[in-house]
Amino acid sequence: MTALDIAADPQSAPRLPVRARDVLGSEWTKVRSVRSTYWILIIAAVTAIGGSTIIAAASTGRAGHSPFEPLEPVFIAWVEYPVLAVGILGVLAFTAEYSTGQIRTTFAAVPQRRAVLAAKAGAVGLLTLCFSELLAFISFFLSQAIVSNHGGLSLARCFPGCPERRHDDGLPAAELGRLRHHKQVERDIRRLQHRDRWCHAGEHQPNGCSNLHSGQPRDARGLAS
Amino acid sequence: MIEVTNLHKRYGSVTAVDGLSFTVRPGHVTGFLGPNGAGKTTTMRVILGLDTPTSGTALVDGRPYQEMIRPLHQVGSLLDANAAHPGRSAWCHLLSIAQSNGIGRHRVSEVLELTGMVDAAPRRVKGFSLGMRQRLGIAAALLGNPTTVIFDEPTNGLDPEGIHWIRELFKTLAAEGRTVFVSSHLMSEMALTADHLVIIGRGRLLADTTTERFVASSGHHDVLVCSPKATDLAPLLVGRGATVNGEGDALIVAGMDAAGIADLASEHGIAIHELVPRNASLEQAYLDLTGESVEYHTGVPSMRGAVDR
Repeated sequence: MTALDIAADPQSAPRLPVRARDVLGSEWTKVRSVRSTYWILIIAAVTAIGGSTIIAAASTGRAGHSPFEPLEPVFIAWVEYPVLAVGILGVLAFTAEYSTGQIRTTFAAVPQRRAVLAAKAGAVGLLTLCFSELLAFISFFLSQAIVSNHGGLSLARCFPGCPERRHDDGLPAAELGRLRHHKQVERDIRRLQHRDRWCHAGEHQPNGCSNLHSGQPRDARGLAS
Repeated sequence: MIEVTNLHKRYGSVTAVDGLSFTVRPGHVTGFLGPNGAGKTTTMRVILGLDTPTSGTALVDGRPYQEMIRPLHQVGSLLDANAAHPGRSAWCHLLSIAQSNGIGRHRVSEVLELTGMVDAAPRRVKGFSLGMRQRLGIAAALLGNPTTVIFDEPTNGLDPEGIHWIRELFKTLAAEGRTVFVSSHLMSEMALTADHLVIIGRGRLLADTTTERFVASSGHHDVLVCSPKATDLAPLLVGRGATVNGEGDALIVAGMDAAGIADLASEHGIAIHELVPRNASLEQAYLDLTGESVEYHTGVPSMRGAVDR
């Protein structure tokens, strides 16, 4: 193979403006292609999931007779510990680029330096956001499973305002219930229900609103109670 | 086309580049020569927008590098073979560069094949030899199929086969009408590769000329001739106006080229065992030119301390 193949390459220089997607894609490739990223994510996962399940397991013994109040704040604390690990990921993404000399290659490829830095922040931010969200859910459901298997406790039962809810109501409902603690969410849900009724009465918006109506009733009723 | 005009670059009290002006034209391999610390790398960094000049301009195809969108389609460069994250695989390194300029995966495979790095693609840069890193850097430079390529000391760490390969690559790229700008501190290296030479010392331009003209102006060069009938050959050469020195079977002939000597010997049925044109003075001419501008003079090593002990 000779250099002539370069000329034979049909791809000619496209005179397109720099696209955020290009630079973001490049930064995403960088983040996912170094081992330190995976180590940090593993550490974050072990801390969050391990910590919260241990707390849940430890709580099952003594929580048999009392409402299960203290779990939630502890659970949240454990899910938030990985912030430290994730912070290291963000720092490394920037510092490693400079310490290894890679930055010269990067800036030679994209002279618009702010775009590079923004894309890097975006790639790391998106990854950590999604991963943290995932960790929070896994931790929650695991803790929930442990708690409901011992002594028939469920998180939902602990929430004031829904004493009639039974532990077999299902975990998604419990999660929604947890959200209900937030006044704003509650207000939003009420508004939805109100709109739901209004739509049903009006009948001139058959598609979107009636779907909402038929899809929601059980949960919505439960939440309103 | 690279145009450097009245370029100055100061780092604090140190002047790295001092009023440099030259033009690198397409279709040629242009060698950028100078001793260590002459300002070669600084000039290249300014051309690539990695440094801002104190004054003056450096344009590629009439535009400053910083203003280019997706510059890899116009300029490919290799400044430092170690400018790669050691924990990343060759493939991912190239892919991240390609993506930033909207270049597809297909092209990444192509440049890996072109540089003979296909087998090394999944391996991490950490384990690469300097020669492999150079090849990876060259692969990155060729990603965008650029019209201008800039290489800083690309032969460092390459084995003889790699050096031969890279010379041929430069010549092919130039033959395709691209601008090829290659720095080196070795005259002998550039004499073989470059058509045109830009020689600097202490940040100033010392020479901007074709290699041929530089060689021609570099004083006398001669031909070493070995022949079993050297005594018969010598008067014939003198008869053609050449100056002949030497003893025994070996003659040092000045004033005639190797072809002329061979033809003359052949006419008279004289066998020639060795015929070597000698351009040792080329290196000397370069040293003479840059001698005064060498940044780091070597001192005479002193052994006194060791002896006293």
